[in-house]
Amino acid sequence: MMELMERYIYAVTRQLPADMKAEVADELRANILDMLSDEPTEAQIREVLEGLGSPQKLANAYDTRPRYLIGPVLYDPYLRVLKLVLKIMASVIFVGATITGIANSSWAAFGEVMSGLVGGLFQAGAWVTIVFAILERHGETLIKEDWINHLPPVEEIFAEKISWSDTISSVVFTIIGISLLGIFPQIFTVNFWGNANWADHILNGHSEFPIFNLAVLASFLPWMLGFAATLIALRIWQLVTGVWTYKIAIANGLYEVFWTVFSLIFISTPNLFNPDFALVFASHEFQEFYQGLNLDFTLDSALGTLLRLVQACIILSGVFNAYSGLAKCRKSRKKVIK
Amino acid sequence: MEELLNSLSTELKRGTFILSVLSQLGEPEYGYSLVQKLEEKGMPIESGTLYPLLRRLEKQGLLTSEWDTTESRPRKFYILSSDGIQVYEKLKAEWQSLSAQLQKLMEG
Repeated sequence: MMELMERYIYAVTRQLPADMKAEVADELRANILDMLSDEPTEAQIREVLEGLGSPQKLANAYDTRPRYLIGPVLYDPYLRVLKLVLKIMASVIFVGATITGIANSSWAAFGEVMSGLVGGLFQAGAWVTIVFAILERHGETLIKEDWINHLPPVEEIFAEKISWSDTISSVVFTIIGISLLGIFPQIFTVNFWGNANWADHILNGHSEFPIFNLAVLASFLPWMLGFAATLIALRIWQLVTGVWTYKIAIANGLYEVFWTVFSLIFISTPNLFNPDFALVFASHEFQEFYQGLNLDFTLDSALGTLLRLVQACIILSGVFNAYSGLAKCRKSRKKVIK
Repeated sequence: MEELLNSLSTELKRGTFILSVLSQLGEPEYGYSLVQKLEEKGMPIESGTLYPLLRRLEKQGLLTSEWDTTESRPRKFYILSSDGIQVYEKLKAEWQSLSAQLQKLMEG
């Protein structure tokens, strides 16, 4: 007869902390017995238990510890970051798979990288969740007591939204680019499919050769990794903020300045390019090829011009990128002042 | 409409549970006797709400408890602690002033 009651008590107490389990069970049993006559029928027991409510609900009332992974304060940022990270992850894997597929001219290689997609997404999701769960437990300081001093800056009010697709594609291509430079630098090659004859002659049977001198390239790799990590951090900050603020624009500007200087140093490094490269340009066949096009061509002047052109592009794009963020902030600020 | 009214009324009453319970625990009571007492006096609290509430109030130091094993059935009795008595007096005063203010408000 009392079986039902014991099952109910067990259902209430099984998830309670050990130190209150036995006590709650005893008390609950005494209370239930009090509500019953000495020889209760099953129908009476059912009625009393139903009056107490579902075991889960009662257990929740006894145990008031916070029992959730991510609470209401962090829930929205959590979802935002989760979506963001999953989008970046999916894009990186897709673009990576495409490049790998093309580089190996094989669908199997594409498929192999793509097969990591589901696992990769779960990994990324798990890490984001773990980080937010830790913030939930230990991040009390995140909610600022002096919020009055931390209201959003004025330039945010009419600020231009930071484009998600631009930012994500910037992160994706940074990750892909740095992976390619780091792992498969040989992918940066020039192919001579069209002119197999003379390429074959110069390069001893190879119709493609790397652009870069791999040893020199490798020496720049730590720097590039540093820049890539900084850029990704900056982009994620932008996405989380969502709009251009002066802080972001200034950080972005500083990044562009350093990146431009670095790029200029990089591109001007002697021996950066594969020595074979010069061999091709210097070759009799190549000169003939160019003279055939009726260009006034000498190797040094051509390379020099090319280098200056690239340097000009680097400087222009750096200045433009650094300035555009600041200009957006100023525009929004003016609107508010009006 | 009915449903909304019910939920609003439940919410309003929930704030009075603690005061109701404290008011009855100048004398020792066990869980079910307190349920009955409150029901008799027209302020019923469901047993599934009351029992966990007693435990919480004890944990907060407002009640003390003791098992009575002299009767045929063991029962856990609760009574106001000295902190509980003080808190009850203050809450009572608060309730009275609140109720008077609200009365004034509602008279327009």
